[in-house]
Amino acid sequence: MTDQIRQIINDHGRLPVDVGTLAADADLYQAGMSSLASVNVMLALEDHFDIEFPDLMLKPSVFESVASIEAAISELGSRALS
Amino acid sequence: MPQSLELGAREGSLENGRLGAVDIDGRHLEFASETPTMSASQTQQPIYLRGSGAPVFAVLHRGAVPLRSTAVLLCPPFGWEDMCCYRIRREWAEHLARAGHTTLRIDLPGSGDSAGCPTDPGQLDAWTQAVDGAARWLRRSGGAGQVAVIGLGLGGMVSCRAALRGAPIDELVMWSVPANGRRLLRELRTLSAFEVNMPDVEEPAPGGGPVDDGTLAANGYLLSAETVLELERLDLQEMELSQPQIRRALLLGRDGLKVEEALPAVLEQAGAEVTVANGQGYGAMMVEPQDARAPREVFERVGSWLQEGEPRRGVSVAVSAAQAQSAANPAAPSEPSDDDEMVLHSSGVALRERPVFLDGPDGRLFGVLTEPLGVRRELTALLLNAGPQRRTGPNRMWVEIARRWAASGVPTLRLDAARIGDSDGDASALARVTEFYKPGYVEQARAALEMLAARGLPERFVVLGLCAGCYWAANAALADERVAAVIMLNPRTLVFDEWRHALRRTRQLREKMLLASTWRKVFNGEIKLARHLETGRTLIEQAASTPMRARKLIVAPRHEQRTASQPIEGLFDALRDRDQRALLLFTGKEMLHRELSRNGVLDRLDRWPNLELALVGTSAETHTLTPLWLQRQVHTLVDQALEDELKRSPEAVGASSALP
Repeated sequence: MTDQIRQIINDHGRLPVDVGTLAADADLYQAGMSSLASVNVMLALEDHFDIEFPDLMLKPSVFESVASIEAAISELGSRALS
Repeated sequence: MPQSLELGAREGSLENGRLGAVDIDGRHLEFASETPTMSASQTQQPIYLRGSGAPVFAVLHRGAVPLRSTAVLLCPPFGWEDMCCYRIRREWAEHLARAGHTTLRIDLPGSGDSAGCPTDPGQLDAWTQAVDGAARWLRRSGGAGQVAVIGLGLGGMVSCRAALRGAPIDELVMWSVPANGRRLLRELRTLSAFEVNMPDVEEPAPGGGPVDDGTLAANGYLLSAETVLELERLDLQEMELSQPQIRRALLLGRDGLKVEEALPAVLEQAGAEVTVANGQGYGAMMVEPQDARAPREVFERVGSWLQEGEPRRGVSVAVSAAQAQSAANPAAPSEPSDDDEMVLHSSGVALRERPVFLDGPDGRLFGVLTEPLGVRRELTALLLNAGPQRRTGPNRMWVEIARRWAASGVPTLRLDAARIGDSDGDASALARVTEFYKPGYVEQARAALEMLAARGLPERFVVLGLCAGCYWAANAALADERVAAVIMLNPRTLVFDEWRHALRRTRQLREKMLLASTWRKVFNGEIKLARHLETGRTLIEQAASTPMRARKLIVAPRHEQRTASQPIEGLFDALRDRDQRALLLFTGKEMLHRELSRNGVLDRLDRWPNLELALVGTSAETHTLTPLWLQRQVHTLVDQALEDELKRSPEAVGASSALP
């Protein structure tokens, strides 16, 4: 999943650096991801993983790093299973 | 009159649309009247469409010969996306026109340069009627056998709604368009929530997200509570079809994202042959205007698709039963008329708004002049660009200011400098920030003042700018004593030269290198140390090599000596000595504010009684005044500055002296 998330951020996050070189907890906004780009990342994640982030998860902290994104998606997966 | 000017035909006539000319420091600039064409290609024409609703601003790009049967209407996305890709849509329209398609770009009601404001009732219907009316006008006036609409985001939703309700739209291209308003609102709410530079909680509540009153502000652009409700209820799947005339539809996904599953069926049910494809380049278009890149692949794909829909030579476009019935129906919406100016009202005051042009070495510049139709005060205002953002200003604030000030009797011009908005020039060059501080921009501001004077408007000016626009405003004031006041919103710098810029960048880099947080980012990979060290090395080399040659001061020549050693203070001294007032506003974390504080300049403000310093919202990055509460405060401040200037005007002084 991590690699897929990194690829999506590379494709839609409009970062000036390769996300593959960032640590999992690196701040994506500090790395250059704008608010508009983060919306594109959110939509791309939903499209790829066939999920929908609930309103409570639509906040910057959820999308601020590869790790936080992965945690959110995992949580959604767990909720779906339960 | 500025001594450096050599005037041409200052009292020019309106023959051939030429109002006058001026030479500024060796550069020749001409003013045009309501000439209906602009740009070197002479294929673009700004117009106002007047139908059943408020007038709509549009730009017509005449198709090149051989003219194609399909005319194209370009409908914008909402808010910040509209601002980001405005220049790209202009390029797209030029591309289509070169291919023979007469193309019309519109600003939806309550946005851009169109009449109305976001809080007007019935926005969704107004937008839909505007698209319908523009399509009707294109069919009649564009010499078109058929009309295709290209809609992005909200513009695509509205275009589809218009088509399903029977607008004369034969073909529809929808790029990144959701099937219902709830999904669109979700994106906007998310954008609002993701605005990473929101102020601290102790400051006034931000305007983002659905607040208590139901409004939604996304990146500074407002949807009223009523409009939010209208969009919540909009579902293209559930719309009742009203004799749609659409025959073909091209649905483009956004950068690899799937087209929403329901959309193809919506258009098929309306009788259209539907093609679904990827639309690469949407994200690259929706970035800061100076960095936006044209989606050439989509340009080509859409062009080919339009060509496939062209009727074969000698075969006229078949009029569908729906079209025939619509044409025969007396209740069908009438075609809007077009005009080269618009009359509107602000606070009950009648105003006239019209395009104006300025030809010079940088090509044709475009602006919109708003004038009171009644009483006029002895003051004229010029609003300069907020950096790369077009003349409508950040969050459409310049449109609101211009109409409000004109309603107070002050004619106000909002101008696009070269390479910005609808003015000529290579926009890609603005990716380098130093380009904004080239002398040509100050000359353009000065030429605009000359143009306003040549039009017979009061030769006492207030000039307003944000970011680089402050630099242009301040230096225009230095060069022209007719500038009574300058309003500077979040300037990055007011005195520029390559040497000083290099030193500043080097100092910033050095300061960041001393922070532990910087090194954490290096270890995390967020910062590429090698890249920044290379930048620093380059800057130091530039600063060290031939320092005298590098010291090219880009300021008004006669102030060169004074500003060389004490730049900002010299500028303030000059303004003071000529009784030119200045409002200097900083919001959030502005670099120049920090520098002025550090250098002690702000401790010496009593040296400049003509200068008012305003600090609003100091905790976050709010350079382009995104939060609604901040916009309201800035509106109040600039209005007060204008009012202060009106009180100082000769007419006001004369009037007060007449009081018993």
